[in-house]
Amino acid sequence: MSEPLEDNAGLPGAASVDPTTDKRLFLLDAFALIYRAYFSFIRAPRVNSKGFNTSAAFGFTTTLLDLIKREKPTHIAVVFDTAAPTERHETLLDYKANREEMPDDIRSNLVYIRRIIEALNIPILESDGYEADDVIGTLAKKAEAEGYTTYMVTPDKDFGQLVTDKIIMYKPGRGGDPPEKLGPKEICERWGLQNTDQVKDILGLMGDAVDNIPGIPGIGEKTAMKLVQQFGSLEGVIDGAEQLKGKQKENVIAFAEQGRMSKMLATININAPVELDHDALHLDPPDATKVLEVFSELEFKNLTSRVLGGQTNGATAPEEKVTKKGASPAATGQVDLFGTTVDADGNVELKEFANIETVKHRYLLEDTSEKMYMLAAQLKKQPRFCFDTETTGTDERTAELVGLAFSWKAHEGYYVPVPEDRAEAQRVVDIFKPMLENEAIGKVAQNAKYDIRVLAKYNVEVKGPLFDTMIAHYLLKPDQQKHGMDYLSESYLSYRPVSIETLIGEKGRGKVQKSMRDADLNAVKEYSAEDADVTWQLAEKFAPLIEQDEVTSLFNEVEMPLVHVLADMETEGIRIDIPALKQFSEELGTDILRLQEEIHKACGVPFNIDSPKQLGDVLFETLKLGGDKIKKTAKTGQYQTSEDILQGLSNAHPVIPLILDYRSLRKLKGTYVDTLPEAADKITHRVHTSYLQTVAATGRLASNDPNLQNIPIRTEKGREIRKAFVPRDADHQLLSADYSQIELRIIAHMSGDHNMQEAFRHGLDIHAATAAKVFNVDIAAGYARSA
Amino acid sequence: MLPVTRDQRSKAKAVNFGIAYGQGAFGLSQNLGIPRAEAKQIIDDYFAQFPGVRNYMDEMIGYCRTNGYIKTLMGRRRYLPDITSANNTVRAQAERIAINAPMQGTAADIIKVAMVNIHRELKQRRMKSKLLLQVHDELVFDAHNSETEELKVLVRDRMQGAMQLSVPLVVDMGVGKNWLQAH
Repeated sequence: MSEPLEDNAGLPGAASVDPTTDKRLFLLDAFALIYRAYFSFIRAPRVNSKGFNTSAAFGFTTTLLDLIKREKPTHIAVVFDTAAPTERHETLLDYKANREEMPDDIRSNLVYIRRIIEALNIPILESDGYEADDVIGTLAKKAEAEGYTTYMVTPDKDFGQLVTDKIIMYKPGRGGDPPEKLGPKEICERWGLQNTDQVKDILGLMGDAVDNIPGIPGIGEKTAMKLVQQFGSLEGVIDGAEQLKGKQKENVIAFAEQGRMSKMLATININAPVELDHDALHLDPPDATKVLEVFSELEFKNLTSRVLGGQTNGATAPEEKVTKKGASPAATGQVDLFGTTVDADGNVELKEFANIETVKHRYLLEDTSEKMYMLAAQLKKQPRFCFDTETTGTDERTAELVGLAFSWKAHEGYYVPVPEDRAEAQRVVDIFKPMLENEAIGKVAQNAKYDIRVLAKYNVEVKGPLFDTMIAHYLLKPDQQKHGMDYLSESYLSYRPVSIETLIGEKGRGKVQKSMRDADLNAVKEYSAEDADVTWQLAEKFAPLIEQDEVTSLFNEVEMPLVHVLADMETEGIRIDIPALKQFSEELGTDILRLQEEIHKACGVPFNIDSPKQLGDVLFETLKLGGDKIKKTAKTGQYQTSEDILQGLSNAHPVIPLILDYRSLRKLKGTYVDTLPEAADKITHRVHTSYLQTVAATGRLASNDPNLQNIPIRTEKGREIRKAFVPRDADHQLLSADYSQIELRIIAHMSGDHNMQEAFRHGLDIHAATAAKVFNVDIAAGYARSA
Repeated sequence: MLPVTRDQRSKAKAVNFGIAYGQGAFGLSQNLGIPRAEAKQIIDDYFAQFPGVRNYMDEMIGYCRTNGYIKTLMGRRRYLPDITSANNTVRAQAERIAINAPMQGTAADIIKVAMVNIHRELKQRRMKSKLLLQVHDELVFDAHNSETEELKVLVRDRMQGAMQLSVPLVVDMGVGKNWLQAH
């Protein structure tokens, strides 16, 4: 590996760098870089398809990756401030009080930023009671003693005080500008100093509005520089105050103490309790799976290839080659950011995914009835084929068919446009109906439940052995949340499919998506045939993995047939009693109002109970509940008023149980009582829940719109909700069938425990039987009952 | 011998459910509002009476350490890389999942098998009754009045027979003019 020396070759520290042997430690000042990243996008924030502002995470990650690419650190860490107050806070209550509250769009990104850092296998350092500055300063000094060159990655001028030949300040580049490396020479020139230690004196004199360090009134940067040059230090200025004149002299004398304290505040503590852990700090390759996961959640598609290069398959498909057949020549021989090879110019090339432009393919438009019958005849000959529907929307109940796509060979696909007129549409669908319903022909699809439901509206009952790539992947990677086709394609095929946005525009933010029907026919053909092709290729990839993981029968005999069951259940829906819910809503409304009045009365002031801030202020300041135990949230400084906290206080004041009641009623009303009637079909009064077959890592089903698994059943009010689920009509009743103690029975079976099995075999009340054993009492006298 | 008291039964119930979630003495003491020492005593007594359960828990954790995953009776996997973590809290959490996931997952396998079999049967017999909802361990049907008895037999049969265990699977069933009444 050869690395040409960077720009600042004249720098003493940098000049001696031999990248092959030297230990180069980069310490990143997390919050300073995150804020800077966020504000650099402030005019044009990055927002992903879910409307989530990713500016902070994106900007920070880019800075980090650029740095790794450019500098090839041997050791690295990201340093965070913690919420705990530091000595500086105790010295000066106002310290950093001027900082505005953290923008929500930064706060919401923090958890992702941490996940990204962890995925890159970079340690996160933080130390309660110490600022990031202190942790960085301490480590830099320790590293210096052990022969490292440390780069403090921060835009914050305070760090200048630490700079030596071996401790360099590194200001990341911005908007195409290269980064700046500031050694002792640069720092001294910048402030006109003899040594970098005097940065503290400058800051002590001039203060720092951002950190709310007061300094001495009337002294700005230029004056501070002049005074330090003349007197050598802040103390020198104070001692020599007599030599000053006029207002300046008065101020230095009057505010001498404030000046000393300001210098102290500006001084970075180099004795924080942190150790230099060589192994932990060593830069290791990233965790590909985790990187993929968090980047695809955030939709950082371009960054994925930058980090992982050809290893996007990670642990998922180790047999996958770095470049796929059919990938462009430009994609070959490239390495990931953490690889050791670089090209002759010392640049790291970035691997791109293959895509429709770079891969040879044959996608055909079947737009005449002659072509359609030819295609149908070919489908009939296949042992299995992949099918996909294009529709006007995402709600199966209203979506209309726009087209059908098929594939049975990699890089080949066929697209059949379906006319808007319903009768004509039916005629087209009928051409393919016999093949779709043929029980001998296997069907491959991604998220087949959707296609099955849409086709059912055109009287097609999809039959034949099913292979749903989404569910196959769920069985292979049950803990992963991502099973979408684009993600699977990038991960397993190193291929990036055409995005739907290129056809119909982006979603949200005031933009209206076009209907699939209005998009360019040729573009839709390419997009749709590609979907079928990619899904087909994924099925080929997953089939042997399903075998290998020994989940074949689970897949073929349980999960695949279940797709049809769930499709029918969703289409069926369940009737709800809308008038009853409306009435219940009114009752709840009255209860909520009554509780609200009681709460206000009990607290002695009217306030907005739904506002955690107002509630916290009333409980903990007005009523002074909780004593020492009260907690404020780390970043907002608000009192915590979560369920748990309030539960813990329920005996402290009669208002607490009222508030808990109030909250549970509000939630019940908002989540179910008012929502169910809106979710119901206006004519049939049936709600059509969606079942999610790939969400719960345990293997259980989840549901949403509405989420049935969460309907409260313990409380009387919660049970009222169940009352509103009613039979279809007078000819029907509802039948409920519920497994009794199924988990305990499974334990009894799996553990083979004799006593437990006996209890179940004799049909005993298992809890009473357990009690009898554990407490050595007699079950016969008490709780015995037959099953 | 004395009869089982209500208090003893509810303690035993908490232990039963706690065990299924890998709960220890601390969790049980919190749950029941009893001193930790008492909770520990109860758990010790429990394992003395049900030694197979203790064994099972150790086996699951051991299997997971060796293989990196645990599996359900039908082979559904759950990967738990944290099972070998050096961090005690992280590892303990993975161990709790290793104990619980095979049961949760097997329960999922069982109800899914039942759903598939019931749905198939309803179609084959061209019945008017429909499977509507699946919530936790429960299935809800629109039962046509002319088919109620047939449906009850069918559903009980297919649910209880979804998987052959060494202990019986038992299904509670009800019919009514709303879900609350039926449940």
